[in-house]
Amino acid sequence: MSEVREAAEPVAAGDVPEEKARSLRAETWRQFRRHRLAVVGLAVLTLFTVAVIVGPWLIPFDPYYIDARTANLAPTLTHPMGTDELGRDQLARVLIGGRLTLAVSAAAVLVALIVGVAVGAVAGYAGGFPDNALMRVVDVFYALPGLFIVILLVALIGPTFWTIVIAIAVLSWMNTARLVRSSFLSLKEKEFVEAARTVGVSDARIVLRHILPNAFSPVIVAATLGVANAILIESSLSFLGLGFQPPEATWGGMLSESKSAVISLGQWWRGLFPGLMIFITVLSTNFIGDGLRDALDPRSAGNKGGRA
Amino acid sequence: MIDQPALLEVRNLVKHFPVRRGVLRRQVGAVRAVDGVSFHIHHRETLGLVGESGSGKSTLARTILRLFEPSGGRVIFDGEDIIALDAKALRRIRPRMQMVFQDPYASLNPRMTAGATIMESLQVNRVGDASKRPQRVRELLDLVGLPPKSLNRYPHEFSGGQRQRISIARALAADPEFIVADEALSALDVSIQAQMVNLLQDLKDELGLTYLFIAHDLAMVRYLADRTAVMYLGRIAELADSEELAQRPMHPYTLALLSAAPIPDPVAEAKREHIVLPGDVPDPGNPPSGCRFHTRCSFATPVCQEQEPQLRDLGTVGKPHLVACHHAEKVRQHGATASSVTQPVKTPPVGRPASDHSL
Amino acid sequence: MTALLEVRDLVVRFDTDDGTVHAVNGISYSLEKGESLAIVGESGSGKSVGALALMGLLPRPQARIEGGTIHFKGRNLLTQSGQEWQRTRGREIAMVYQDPMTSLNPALTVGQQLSQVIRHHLNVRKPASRERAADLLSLVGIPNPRGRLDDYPHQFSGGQRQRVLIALALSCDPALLIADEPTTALDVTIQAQMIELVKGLRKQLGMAVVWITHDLGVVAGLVDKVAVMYSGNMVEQAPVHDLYRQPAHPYTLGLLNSLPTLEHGTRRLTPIPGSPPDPLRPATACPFARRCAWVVDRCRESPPALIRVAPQHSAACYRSADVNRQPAVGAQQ
Repeated sequence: MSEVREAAEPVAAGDVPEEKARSLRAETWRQFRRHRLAVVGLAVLTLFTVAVIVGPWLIPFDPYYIDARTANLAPTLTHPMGTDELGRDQLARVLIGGRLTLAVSAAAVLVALIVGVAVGAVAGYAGGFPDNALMRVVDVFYALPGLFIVILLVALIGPTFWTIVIAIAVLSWMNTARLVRSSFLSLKEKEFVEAARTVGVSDARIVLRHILPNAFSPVIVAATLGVANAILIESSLSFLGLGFQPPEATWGGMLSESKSAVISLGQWWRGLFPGLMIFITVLSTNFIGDGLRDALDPRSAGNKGGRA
Repeated sequence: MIDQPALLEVRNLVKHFPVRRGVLRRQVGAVRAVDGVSFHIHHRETLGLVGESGSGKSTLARTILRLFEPSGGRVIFDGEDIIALDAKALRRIRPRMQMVFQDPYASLNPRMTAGATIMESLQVNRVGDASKRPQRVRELLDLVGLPPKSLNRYPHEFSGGQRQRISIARALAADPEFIVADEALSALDVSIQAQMVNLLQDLKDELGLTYLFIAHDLAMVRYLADRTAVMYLGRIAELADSEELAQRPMHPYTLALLSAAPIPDPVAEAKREHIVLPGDVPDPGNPPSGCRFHTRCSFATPVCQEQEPQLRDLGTVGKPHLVACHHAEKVRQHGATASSVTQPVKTPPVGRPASDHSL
Repeated sequence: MTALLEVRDLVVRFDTDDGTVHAVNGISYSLEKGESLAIVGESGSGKSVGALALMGLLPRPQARIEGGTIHFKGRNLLTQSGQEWQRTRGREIAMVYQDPMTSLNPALTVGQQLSQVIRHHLNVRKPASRERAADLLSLVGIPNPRGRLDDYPHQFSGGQRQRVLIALALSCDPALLIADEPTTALDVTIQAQMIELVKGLRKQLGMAVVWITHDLGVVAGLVDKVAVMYSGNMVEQAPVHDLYRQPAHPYTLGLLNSLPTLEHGTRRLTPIPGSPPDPLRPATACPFARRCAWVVDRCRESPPALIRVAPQHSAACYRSADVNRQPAVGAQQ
């Protein structure tokens, strides 16, 4: 029979997908991009970050320069966000204040993340007594009257950059710890972890290479949302007068300084612009968090195909 | 084969999981997952281990590899009691005993490429020269029938069968002598299962491997294993040469398992006797008294409720046939008269294109 | 006389991120009253999708029924209103699912769940529905049915839960029972119990059964006819005897050869090489061509249609006559 062909394929595993392998990161990015608001959020946040870094050099006003002649001006072309009662340009202050606000939030989230991941990882992987002990510590921190601790910290050490960072971190690491712990608890029972152990992989390497990367997606999402939270905490600290002290500007601080001006003098621009910045930044990070959550969900990336 | 010492010897292995209740986590009982199991596996032999959920077969496998600490008994691998080994000595012996897991979707790290997974096994076990390892990874992929382009792919890009091949390659990377396959085929489609069976056979012949092959499907085990052990509620019910076990079952549970194994032939299916066991597998935390199987057994008599039957050898010289049943003789007789219980010998449809025959 | 169920040229597509999945590509089958049919296929074959379409349970909005008709007792279900369809399903067509744990509400007693369904569909009073619930439990072989009505699902073992599900499905005397891999999650001995149960119930109640499975072995002693699906297509359909003894499609033959048999050590298994095609690519050729040992040029040019090879036996293969001529099961008896 001449028309019969030999089976072209070897009796083997069959076809590995022909197209170029998409790396996990590329796949995540592709998923993330489908979330339009998250992309907008990312763009806005990037814009803000760039603006607060290079902005202060580009505008012709010094955020700390007091000039009685320009006090209490409503927004104009020269002062797009108006001026305060000391005649300082609001735009300059918003930009320079944004530096501090964003830096403090990022640093606080990073610290909270490091502590939270470490505590959660140890508790979740070790289990038993260490787990119980660490989780009680977490409970204690949840139960602490947060504001009181922060006031204590600031009062004892003074409102420096790192005090405020630590103050925020102290109030927010517990969520991460719980998240990481529960991820670790379920991941350490997974067959691929058992398989790694059978192959002879050490505990440290199992934690770092096998469990942590798979536990990270909820953590990254939590961290993004944590940035929003940190900005809000910093704002309320400043609002209570426990944040950075004048003439240092932060968005929360500006908002706090503006309260009498807005209420009694009707200078709406004093509160509007820093408030708007906080609002937009928090909203953006929330959108990014949502987008990451969807993009990092293994059910959306890769594991397709549902039921037959 | 008989004169050679066994590669693996399991002696009276016990694994209990404590059941804790209340605020103080006091132990109120124990799930006796593995409750005094003994057997051995010779070099280059495949032992099949069959049982349903709750039989303790997976716990047994993990206890043998010391992924679980046993509650009692000994596991002697190549002359060494691995239960007594400290962590360092255990790490030395681990590469020689590997495992292939059940769920191809859960047993690979989703964030590591196939290449990285196999490479890790080579690295942690310091197999060969570091510079030659990339080449070795490619050889291993080839050995399990995966194309070289699989190297940089992530698990989600592979089908279930292909993932199972990666798992096998990872196990082989450690250069093992003994592999435990824990339901390694159960999650795969029928046509892929057959590919894997052949792969496992080939690897065994090529590399001189010894297998403990765990399954719930007697037909598949019978195909792969030299000897087969049937487990029920943490104990071995019957252990014999696979063919002997299928032809002359002496434990009522084995009889039922054989009868439950589907036959892809409507005529044979209609002709044979169907033994349908009543009820479910009892709770291993509270196994029945006496013979653990008596609650579902049609052969049971009062003695079964009182006395736990011990494994006894009813085989011929040189061909042991161990069975733990008070009425094994009666069961054997039943199996002999109703021979249709076991699968009748039939010729499967081996169709190939006509041209193949002329080649 | 019209058939109880007639599915014709059913086409189902899924929209996913990566494109359109051709889940079911024009399948047709029919079922007489009291008849039983097995739909056999591996994962991704579309075997469950067809049944879900029948029950109106396809996931929305991803799934689309692109074409075809489903006639049940002469009525086209696809043109019925949602309400009419809902009445048909549950009362006249019932379904048993794979996972007995997730299909029962853990917060309600089994009796509550059963009588709820009975009251909803049959419009009877509470005491009468409870009575019927107990009868159903006894019908599916649960000991002490009256006493167990007030138990919660977690108090039943896995096998018993599957029995409860079957009772639930039977609560309205359906004319058609669809069983979607009902034994896959169960142990071998429990699987045997279920098969016996459904066999007995079918005889007793005279209902038609569609049994969806991946295992050709399980259904050999269970059904009247078998349809084999591959990659969204029906590749072979035959009365049960013909299918096992004279398979006419290379895939069916391949599946049979893949099953382990008894002559230990005499022969290797004959697997089907490769794996199923990507369902994202519409078939321009026979979907099995790349794994087929019988392939000829024609197979790669256009997909073969389902054609008759014997009375009531059809296969979608250009070379079914050659495949069919091979010695098959039992030929030596």
